[in-house]
Amino acid sequence: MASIALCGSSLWKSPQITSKTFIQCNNLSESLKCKDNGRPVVPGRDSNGRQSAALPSFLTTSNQFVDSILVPKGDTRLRLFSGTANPSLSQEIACYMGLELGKIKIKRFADGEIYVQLQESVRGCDVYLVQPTCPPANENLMELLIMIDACRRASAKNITAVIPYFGYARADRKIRRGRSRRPRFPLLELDEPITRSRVAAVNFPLNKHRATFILTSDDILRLKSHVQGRRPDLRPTTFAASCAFLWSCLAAAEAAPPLVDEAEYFCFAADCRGRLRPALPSEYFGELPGVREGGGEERVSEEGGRGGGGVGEHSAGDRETQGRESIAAKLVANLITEAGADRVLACDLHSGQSIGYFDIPVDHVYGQLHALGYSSQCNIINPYYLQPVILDYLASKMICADDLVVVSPDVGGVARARAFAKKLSDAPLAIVDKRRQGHNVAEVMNLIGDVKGKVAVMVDDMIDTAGTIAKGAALLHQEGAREVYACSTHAVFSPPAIERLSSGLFQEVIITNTIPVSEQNYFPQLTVLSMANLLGETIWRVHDDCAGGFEPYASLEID
Amino acid sequence: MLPKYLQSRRLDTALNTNTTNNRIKIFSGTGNFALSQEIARYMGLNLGNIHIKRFADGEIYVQLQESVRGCDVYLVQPTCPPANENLMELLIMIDACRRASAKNITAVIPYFGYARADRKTQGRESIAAKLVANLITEAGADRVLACDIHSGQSMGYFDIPVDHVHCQPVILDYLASKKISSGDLVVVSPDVGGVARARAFAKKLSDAPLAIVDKRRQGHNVAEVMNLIGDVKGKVAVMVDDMIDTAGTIAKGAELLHEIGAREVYACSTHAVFSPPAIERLSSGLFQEVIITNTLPVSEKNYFPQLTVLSVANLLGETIWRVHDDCSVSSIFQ
Repeated sequence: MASIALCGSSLWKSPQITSKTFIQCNNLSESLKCKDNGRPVVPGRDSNGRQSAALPSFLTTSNQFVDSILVPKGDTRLRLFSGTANPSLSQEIACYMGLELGKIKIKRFADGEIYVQLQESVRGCDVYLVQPTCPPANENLMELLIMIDACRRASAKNITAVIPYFGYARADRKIRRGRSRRPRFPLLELDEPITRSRVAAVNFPLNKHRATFILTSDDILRLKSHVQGRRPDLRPTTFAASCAFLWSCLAAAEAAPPLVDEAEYFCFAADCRGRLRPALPSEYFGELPGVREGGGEERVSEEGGRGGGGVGEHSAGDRETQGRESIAAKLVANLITEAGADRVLACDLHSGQSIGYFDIPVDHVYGQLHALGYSSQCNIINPYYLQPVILDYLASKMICADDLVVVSPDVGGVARARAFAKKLSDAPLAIVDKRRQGHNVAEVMNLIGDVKGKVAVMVDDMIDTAGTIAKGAALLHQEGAREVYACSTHAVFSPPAIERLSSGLFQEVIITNTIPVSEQNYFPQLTVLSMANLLGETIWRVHDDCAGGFEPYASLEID
Repeated sequence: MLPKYLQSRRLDTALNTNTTNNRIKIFSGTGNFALSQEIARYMGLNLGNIHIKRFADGEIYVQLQESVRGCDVYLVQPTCPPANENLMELLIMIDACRRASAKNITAVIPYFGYARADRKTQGRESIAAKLVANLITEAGADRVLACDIHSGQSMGYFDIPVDHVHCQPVILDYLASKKISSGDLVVVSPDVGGVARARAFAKKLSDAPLAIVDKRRQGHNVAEVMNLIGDVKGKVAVMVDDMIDTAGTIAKGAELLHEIGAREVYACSTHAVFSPPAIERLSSGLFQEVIITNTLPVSEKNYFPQLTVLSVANLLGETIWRVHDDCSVSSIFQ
């Protein structure tokens, strides 16, 4: 029932449709929500909809004192405040939740310093502060920090920072110094060389896909005898022999001077979902933080658990440092914690690592994906069954499933695009393999996969200057795509994003309102979907859990 | 002269590296580059190479261009307007240094923004000064060096050592050089909160008498003058404050002083924030001279004929040396 409520994820296309449309949506969803989950909107009921009628008669007197004790404080103790970054989103969230936004005075002094005063008491309340740290990032971040500080000093019980867009998320690691040279693969010097791949296309290109080797049983036999010719004491398995072969090819291709002290790893992505006890569902694609404890007869490597979908990390190479850089994402996480937040609610963080930067619980909301919860016993952080806003919208467009291809604009986003494709009636995947030379500068190289005559849906977590996605789209058109859609949760839209996006490359640009889109940035192809219902629902769930009544998340399942 | 057995090249180089002090590095943010350069010059050092840029979406990126492993690093960055930008930049600089394995990180903050938000005047306000102190600590600074913080209590907000640099000696030296007859001089505090500061100033200024403008303030940034405590008739009034923001307080005070019959009015202040309309108010002829220091950069277009900008670079440079050598800092101010 509530899925209908969320299906009404409000959308408006360009300025011509007024905001009235989605207020209606909200009303609809509100009434449904009450019926279904019995969540109180009227003060005087507790979170399960029980009324005081069940009490012994001597307690049901209209004694105000008794009432005030017995009426659970659940909802009257929830306060929602908005910063200045995205007041319309906050207003929508409040509408969905059937609450009023709290009164807060935020002003800027002549010298740019920020002053915050809460205009109503929050003593003992659960406070939710809605503030994306979108551009101007530093101003909005400081405002959030000062708001948190004000709440803490006003004796709020719990402070949750709701950060629809988390700025600085991209500065989440020290960056590898560009080694963009594509390695060549010289082949191991056997008596008779093994022939290089006969097949070019693979089902899904891996993150670091460089070359494909196909080893026949003949080849493997030769490899084994080659090893035994030198080390008669070894009896290599097929696996060990083929790995050793690949490893030596890779080492030769990198042609790096031998580093003595540096450990290097040869990692595999293994699909171990079925081997866990109890097994994970085969369609589960998400983070499994660590190996689950108990009952495991089989040792499962961490890589296997994490890269369940098959897109694993090649090696530690990604984490090579440029040195002496700041990791601003971690810094910002520390700042928010230090200011006094008890919990953070964020949408589509740029990378999963960012969650680990916080020492406080982070609820991660996916605007694009189904965050597949598994079961409440499982150690998955985000077991929410949330309705994917963008997917819903795309599904409503009724694009023929055979025509569809999901495109990741860069190799880093393959996992995201793959999960997206899976939800979109298992559409095929294509990847724009691009080498980026510096920040904000995108360079397209080539396309992996087939898009000819198809409808290409490009998926990314954010659109900043739109350089990446625009170059990708140009490439897609070149390769013969019929239509190109761009989907992204966060629309940062730094110049010249608007020019690039409205240049006619895209049939439609679908974004959400985690960051406010200013009126002058609208263009005909732009569609803005609302995250308000999703966030509102998440806040309810987080709050219900905090309020004590333990309710397994599974029972809140929406579909 | 060393004994023969001690004269070795190895020892010489060891001694030389000791004297050149290559274990101290000083970096400047974009907040006040000129001041940082002056400090470095006083110290006989070069500013470290640092790459600070802003992305199209306003986020800041910092990379140190030289190694700081095991060094004592000094980061000069006032959190002046735009306060939030400069503060974030400082925090990210500290973070970059910490991740580059600097031994000690000292944040040199000539002007400490948000220092005025140091207490709750009403309910449900934030105490931003404490918050900023926490943020700087959390980012990884080991020590803070600040000039004339608005209230001394703010120092207690830090859990790390704070070296407080008084910039009054610079202004006092300058005033002394003007050779105003000590019988003519009266030091005026523009509000009751600044009396202690004015008193210390007067004491140093050949024990000049003190006057106080008793003002009731109705709201932030709005000053309202009530009356004057003390005598200024026919005298040279030196108004002392720690900062001039919109200059409302000090301008109204000066008007009152002129009304009551002061001969000349000087304004002295360490920090010149100069939010509009400060320039109009200060250059309107109320003041004989406005004496400030360069803890905040004063842009070219904000200069007016009565303005005198003194440099605190030597003072800060000396303080940094003493902090680095573990000498007494307070003895500078005696």
